[in-house]
Amino acid sequence: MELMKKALEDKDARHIVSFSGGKDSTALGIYMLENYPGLNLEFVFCDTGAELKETYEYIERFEAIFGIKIKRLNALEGLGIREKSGRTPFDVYLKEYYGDFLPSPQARWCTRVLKIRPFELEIGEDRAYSYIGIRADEQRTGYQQRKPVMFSSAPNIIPVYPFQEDGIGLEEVKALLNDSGLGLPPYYKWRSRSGCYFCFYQQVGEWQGLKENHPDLFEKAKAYEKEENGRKYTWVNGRSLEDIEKLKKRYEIPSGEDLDGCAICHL
Amino acid sequence: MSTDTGTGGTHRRWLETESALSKANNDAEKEMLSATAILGFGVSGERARVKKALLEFAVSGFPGLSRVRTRKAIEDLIDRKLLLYRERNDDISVWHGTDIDIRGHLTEEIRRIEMEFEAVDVLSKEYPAPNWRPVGHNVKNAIRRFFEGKYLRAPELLRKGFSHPLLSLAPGEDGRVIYCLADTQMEISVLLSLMGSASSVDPGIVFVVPEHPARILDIALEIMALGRLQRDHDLVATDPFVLPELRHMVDSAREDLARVMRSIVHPGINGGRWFFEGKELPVRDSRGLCEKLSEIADRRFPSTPRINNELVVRKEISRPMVNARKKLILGILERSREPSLGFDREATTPDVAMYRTVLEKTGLYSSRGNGWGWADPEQLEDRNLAEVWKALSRFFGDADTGKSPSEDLFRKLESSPYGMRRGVMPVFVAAALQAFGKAVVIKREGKYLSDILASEIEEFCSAPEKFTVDVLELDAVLSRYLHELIEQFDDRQPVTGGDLIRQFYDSLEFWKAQLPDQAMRTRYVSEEARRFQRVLRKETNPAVLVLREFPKLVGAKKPDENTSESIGKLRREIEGIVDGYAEKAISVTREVFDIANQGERDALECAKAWSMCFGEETVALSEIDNTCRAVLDRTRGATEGRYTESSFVLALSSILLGKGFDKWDDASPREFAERLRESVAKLERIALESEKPSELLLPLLGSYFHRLYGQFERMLGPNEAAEKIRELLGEKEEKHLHSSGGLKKNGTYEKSA
Repeated sequence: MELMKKALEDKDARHIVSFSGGKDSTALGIYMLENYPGLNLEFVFCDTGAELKETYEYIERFEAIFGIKIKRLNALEGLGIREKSGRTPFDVYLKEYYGDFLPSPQARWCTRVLKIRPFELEIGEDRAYSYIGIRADEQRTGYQQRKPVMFSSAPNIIPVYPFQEDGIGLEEVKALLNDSGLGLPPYYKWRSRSGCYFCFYQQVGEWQGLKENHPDLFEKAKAYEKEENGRKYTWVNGRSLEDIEKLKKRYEIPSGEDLDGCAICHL
Repeated sequence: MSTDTGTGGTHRRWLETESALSKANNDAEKEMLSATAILGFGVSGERARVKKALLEFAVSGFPGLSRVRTRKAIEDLIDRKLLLYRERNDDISVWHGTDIDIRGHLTEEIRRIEMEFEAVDVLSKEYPAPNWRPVGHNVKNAIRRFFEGKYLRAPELLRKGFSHPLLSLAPGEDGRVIYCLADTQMEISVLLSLMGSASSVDPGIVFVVPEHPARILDIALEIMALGRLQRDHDLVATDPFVLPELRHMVDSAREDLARVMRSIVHPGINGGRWFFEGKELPVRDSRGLCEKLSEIADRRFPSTPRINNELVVRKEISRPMVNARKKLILGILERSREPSLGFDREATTPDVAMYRTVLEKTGLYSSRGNGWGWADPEQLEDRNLAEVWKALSRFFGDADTGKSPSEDLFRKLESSPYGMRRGVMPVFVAAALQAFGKAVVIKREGKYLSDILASEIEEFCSAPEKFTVDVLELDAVLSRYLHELIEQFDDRQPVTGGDLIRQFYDSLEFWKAQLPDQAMRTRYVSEEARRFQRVLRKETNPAVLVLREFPKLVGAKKPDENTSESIGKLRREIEGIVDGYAEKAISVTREVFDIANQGERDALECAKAWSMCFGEETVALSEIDNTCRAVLDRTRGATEGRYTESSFVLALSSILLGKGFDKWDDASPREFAERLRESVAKLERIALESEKPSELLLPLLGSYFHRLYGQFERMLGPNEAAEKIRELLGEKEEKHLHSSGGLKKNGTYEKSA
């Protein structure tokens, strides 16, 4: 309660809600708008250029319903590279900076350069409270294992967890979304997380869901995989998407409550 | 010794010596065997080489052994297999006890492989032909050229003559040294006579003819045969001494080969004779050779641009350097005109080092009177660099009249007289494209290249055959037309210099990305706009669009002063689709929420007034579904300043249809109206059916009444409608008085409050 109170009283600081396009961060946006209407909130979304179409539409619906503007942060800006149609930050980083080296749980450059860095650039030296939608009924870790979820470890960016302080759990989150007319993001029917369509944390059932719902994106994800000098570069450790495609068994979609990876992309 | 018990180890050799000693016939033989063993141990137990002369010297003090007797005794011990003599490297050791005839096996193996033996291949592997650097030329030009060494057998050269493929250089090759291999004096003589007419070969070829014939091929053949014997598992398994012995023989043969080859490939008194353009070079040592090669390189590459960066001025660069080069190229493509291309000049990273050395120090990119920019060829101090820059300016700047394919550009720059390195070319290509490309159409495998970043430039340089480059003639008319079109589709910022075709393409793509999905398909536009849609869907080449399709759309043969404005009209018509959708939604919203029945009121005020009828006591939240609840919430906040009419109906669309106007299609307006009416009706019904309706609902009821009254009027006319209403009110009042006991016995009513 103390941190939230301190944040609310600090009128000189910036108050940032960072969207991932998932249910928790969206619900947090609604919660903050409804409960703290006097707070000068800023909404940001770090666009990797590889999000699902449903994510973009969901964010647009949020903006439309609540009549607010979510600022799209684009990692290209930090590189001094212009944004243009068809040019995605992920592809620019992959091809131009990482020599086609795919990110993986061991080398998660994507979260660092596409989510964290643009967020830090946006805040700059300003003192800012970063409101994070970790619920009272979950224990997820951050970008660094065993550390709390935060968008930045910069000292001027102070993480605040309103849901945890106010005891908001999963049921309340769902109610917030449903009552607003937004509902849950539609991809939760076949996927347990927000984030890039090729997220390497996806489980087999989710990849199968991608194939069923977005065969074009599945093919695009496949095209990133390659074999070079006898070494395979795949999204899923130990098997290619072509292998997954051939599976006859339909795997379950995880509940989403014990997701692998940090919560930055999957809130 | 007690621990060194393996095959060939000192303990084993001690035992072999003891065994040999037991077979000796006299003390002199024992002395020789002992001496051989001890000398073979060396100073620390390694297997030292014992020459025959050394052994003779070692035993010369033994009583009664003259030199002649000593030699005879040694030969005798060798014949009795108590000593082993390896002729090739003059090495005597105590016989190791194996009875395998390795020499016999070797002879047999040589006979077997003789026919398939590729002497030059084996030689190139065993003793690679040395490369030579023209050091003086390299230092002067900050480059690392080299003359690649190649072996060529005399019979092959004599058979094919100067048309031999090794005697012509590919683009990018600096020069070549051909080491001729001759087995006989006769071959050498023919080679020397041939050298006189070698002036017609590629002026980067240097020949080396050996002074004497050498049995190089025999040694190479033996090395190959020994290698195969080592892999003969059956042979090796017969005796543990076979493999060490084979290894020893290979080592010995290699040593011999190296000695012979050194005399051929290195300049010196007994070395080979060097020839260039039909004349013998007066070369006595390596230094003299390098000087001569520098002269040759100077003549061959007089226009080498001086770029002082050995990390990138190379044929192939390392992976980290490729990444650094890509960063530099991104700077060139994306930040031209920014100071130092946006790099921190003081940084020590390789990309910045490349920027400084390749672009800034050379003067290619610098701050001039009107800001940072690219140099013209005439402004460069290094005339060689100016020549290269001019060639690139012609490639990207001159309109296509018989332009050569992309690969010709690289061939030209790599060959004499420039001799540029492949490593630096992507930087030059990116820079020239920025500096000189004003109306360029680059296609990859026939399709317009939609985006150019560093990877595309790298690919353009590594696989130029995939690309074509067309340059349009950019006169004042075309330039103005392109400027106008760019501003038509993307007016975010003024058009600057650079490639106008690409800027037009980017602006068109930006515009298309803003349009609703339906915009390119809707039928509710004029026939001209539908043709515009079709053209945009079909044609991806911007040059074809601007030069052929757009004029055709507006009835012209080529672009004129009206074309861009006519295209602008079509653009606005397509864009108007979203506005049209929004207007329809606003109109329906006003109508649905207009409880004051005033017709022209603002949609936000109507919605707010309507929402006032639904206080918490009016309708229980638990009774309504999420959609109705969300609609009610939005109407309550309609006038709080968050919404305009457009954004408010957009919010309703997001709730009711789950999408914004950009996702609407031609059926959406009707669907929106239905869903809005349905939600509103549902809410009103729940509220009005309440057992205790709230007074807040009075305006809503009033609205109902007005609407019903209007219906009466339309059905019955104003007078009869009024009469009908009075009649209905009378019935209603009567019923009310009855139920409340207000009707007097005389049939009159009590005055009602």
